Amino acid sequence: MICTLVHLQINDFNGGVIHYRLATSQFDVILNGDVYVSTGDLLQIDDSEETTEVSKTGLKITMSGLDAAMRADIDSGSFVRAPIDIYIADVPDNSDVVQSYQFHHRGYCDTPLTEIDYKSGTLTVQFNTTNVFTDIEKIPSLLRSSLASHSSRHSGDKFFEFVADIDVTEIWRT
Amino acid sequence: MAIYFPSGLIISNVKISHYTPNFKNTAINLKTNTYDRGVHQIQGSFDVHITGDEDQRKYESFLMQVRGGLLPFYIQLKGRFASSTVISSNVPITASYTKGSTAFNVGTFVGSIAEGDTFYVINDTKVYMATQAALPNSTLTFYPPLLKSIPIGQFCHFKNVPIYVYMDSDTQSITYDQSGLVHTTTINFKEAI
Repeated sequence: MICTLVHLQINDFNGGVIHYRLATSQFDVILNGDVYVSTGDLLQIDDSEETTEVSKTGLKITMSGLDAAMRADIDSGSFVRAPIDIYIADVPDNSDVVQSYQFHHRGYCDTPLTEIDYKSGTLTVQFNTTNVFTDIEKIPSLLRSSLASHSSRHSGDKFFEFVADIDVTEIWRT
Repeated sequence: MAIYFPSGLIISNVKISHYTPNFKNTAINLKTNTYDRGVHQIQGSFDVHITGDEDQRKYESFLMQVRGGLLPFYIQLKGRFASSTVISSNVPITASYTKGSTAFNVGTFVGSIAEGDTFYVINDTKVYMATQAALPNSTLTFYPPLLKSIPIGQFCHFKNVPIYVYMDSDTQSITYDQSGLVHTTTINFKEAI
C-alpha cells in the first residue's frame, strides 16, 4: 500500500515542539517508531515542481478547517517557518509498519489561510510551503564587512578601512 | 449516541458500489503499473417506501437527527449483508491483531464462512468481507485491512451486518404518492470511515 505521510513540527510558546504526524492511509501507520495518524484532515497535497535550479519552490497543502487540536496553533502563528517533511511510504500487506519510504518534500510552512465557502459547504485551511533551499537565500546581515565588525574579530586589522560600499548579498544559487 | 435508520420501512432497488481508488499508470507500450492505496468505501443507494402516519413521522424525525450529510447512521440492508450460510455463534478471533492485518486465525464456531460474507468487529464501524471461505479453526482472509488494532478475545460478527454511512446530500426530498398515503424517497449514501 502506498500512502503519503506528513510530519509537521510546530513550536509552542513554552519552547517545546509539537509533532503532528498525519497519514493518508485508512489506518495509522508506523515509520521509524513514530505513529502517523490516519486523519480525516488531509484533503489535498498539490503537485511539487522539480527543477535543477536551486530555488525555494514549495507546494500547497489543504487541510480540513476546524480541527480543534490544530486550530490554536493555526491561529497563533506558530505555523510560520514550522519544519515540514512529506514522505511517500510503502506499507506491505498485512502490516502497519512502513517498509520503505522516500522524501516527497522537505521545507518550511508559511502562514495558513482559512477558506470558508458557503456554496460548496467546505471549510479548509491552506498553507504553502517553501523547500529547505530557502535557507540559502538569506542575506548575511550579521557578517557585514565593515571596519568596525572586522576589527572586533581581528583586533588591529584595518583591511576594510577604505571600503566605500559593500554588496551584502551572498549568492549561492543560480 | 448512535443513530439507526428507522426499522419497518420498505427498502427496495438497492445499489451497492465498492470504491477502491488506486494509483495506475499505463506506459506507451500499454504495460500497466498499479499501486494499492489500501482504501475502500461502500457507496450506494436505495429506495424507501413509507406507509402509515407514525412511520412517516418517524422517518422525518430521523432526517432531523442526521441532518443531511452531517451525522452518520447505521442501516441494515440484510439480504446480501446477512451471512450466506447459517453461523449460529459469533466467530472467535484467537489472537490480537494490529491494524493493517488482512487475515485472522479463527476458533471454533457452528457453520462455515462463505467467500463474500461480510462481518464487523466490535468498536469498529467498518464492514469487512471474507475473500476466501473459512471453516472453524482456520484462517479467515479478508479485505479491506483492519482499521483498528484489536486485543485478544474479540469476535467477528457475521449476522445482519449494518453499514455505517453518511447521506450523500444535505437535501433529502420526499415524494407523496398515492394521494399522500405512501411517502417515497431515494437515499444515496457513502460509508463513514
